[in-house]
Amino acid sequence: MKNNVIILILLFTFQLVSAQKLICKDGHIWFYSHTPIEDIEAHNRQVVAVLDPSTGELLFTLLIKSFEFKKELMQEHFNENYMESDEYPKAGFKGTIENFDPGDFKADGKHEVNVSGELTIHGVTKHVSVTGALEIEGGTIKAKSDFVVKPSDYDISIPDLVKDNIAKEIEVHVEVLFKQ
Amino acid sequence: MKKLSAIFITTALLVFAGGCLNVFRKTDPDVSKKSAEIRIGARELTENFMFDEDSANSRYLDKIILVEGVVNSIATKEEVITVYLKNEEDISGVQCNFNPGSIDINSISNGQQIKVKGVCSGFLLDVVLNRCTLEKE
Repeated sequence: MKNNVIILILLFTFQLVSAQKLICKDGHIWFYSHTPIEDIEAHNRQVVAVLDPSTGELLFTLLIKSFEFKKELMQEHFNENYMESDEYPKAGFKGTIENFDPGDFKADGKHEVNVSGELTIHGVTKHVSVTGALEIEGGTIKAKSDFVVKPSDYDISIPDLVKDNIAKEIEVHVEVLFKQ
Repeated sequence: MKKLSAIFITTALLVFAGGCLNVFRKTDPDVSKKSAEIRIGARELTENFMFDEDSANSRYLDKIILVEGVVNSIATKEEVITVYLKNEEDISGVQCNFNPGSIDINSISNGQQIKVKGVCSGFLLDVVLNRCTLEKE
């Protein structure tokens, strides 16, 4: 068992190194819920992101419990009542950058991109297409995107008592930095 | 008599208001004041997640864990200080995230054996501990 796992990890590492994939372990994803009653925001600064600059493949994974709220009570409700993070500890995205040229990553510049793939939240996977931007500067690639997620699309039910406090559409912001 | 009941009502209101504030405005629970539920080495904790993530999740998620390990790197970014506990030869380790002000990064250095207490959020490429504090001997 132990040996199998080690072999798997070695293969995984070898593949990462051989394919020159870029890894970021401290990506930042944050979200806003805006309603006339209340504004809520939470930040996750431990997002793992992997980018393959030769194919444009992009992978994000994060821990739901790593979202930090200003109020501990909100964080508890978010984890226990809405996201059920004991059952679904992670959320993730696997997709590709559609309109890009591998050569784009070699020179400094800014590029608007379209990204599409599978977004998994709360155990529900949906196909999504979003726009984003890549900023290449001195060997680093900053990837940014802003998009909207509807909790109802991912079977996240909000109790009637607080449904006016939580937006129907949550604004999500992504910012990760890859070092080449 | 009137004076007495006025004092009584005021006191009751103050206690009630205090209680409300406590519940609704609890910010950044201070992990340093709570005692650890689990004590474990950084490598053992990481291995438990690598070999069986589901059972490790049920054992460690949301628990206050005191982990002992070797500092591999220290990084400051935006509002988080991250101390990475990992032996040189290991692939994964424990990522300990401190809020600013909760650690003096000059007090630790790479290669040093330290003890960190924090709340376990789960496992990505590494085990993630949040709201950490440094444990002194």
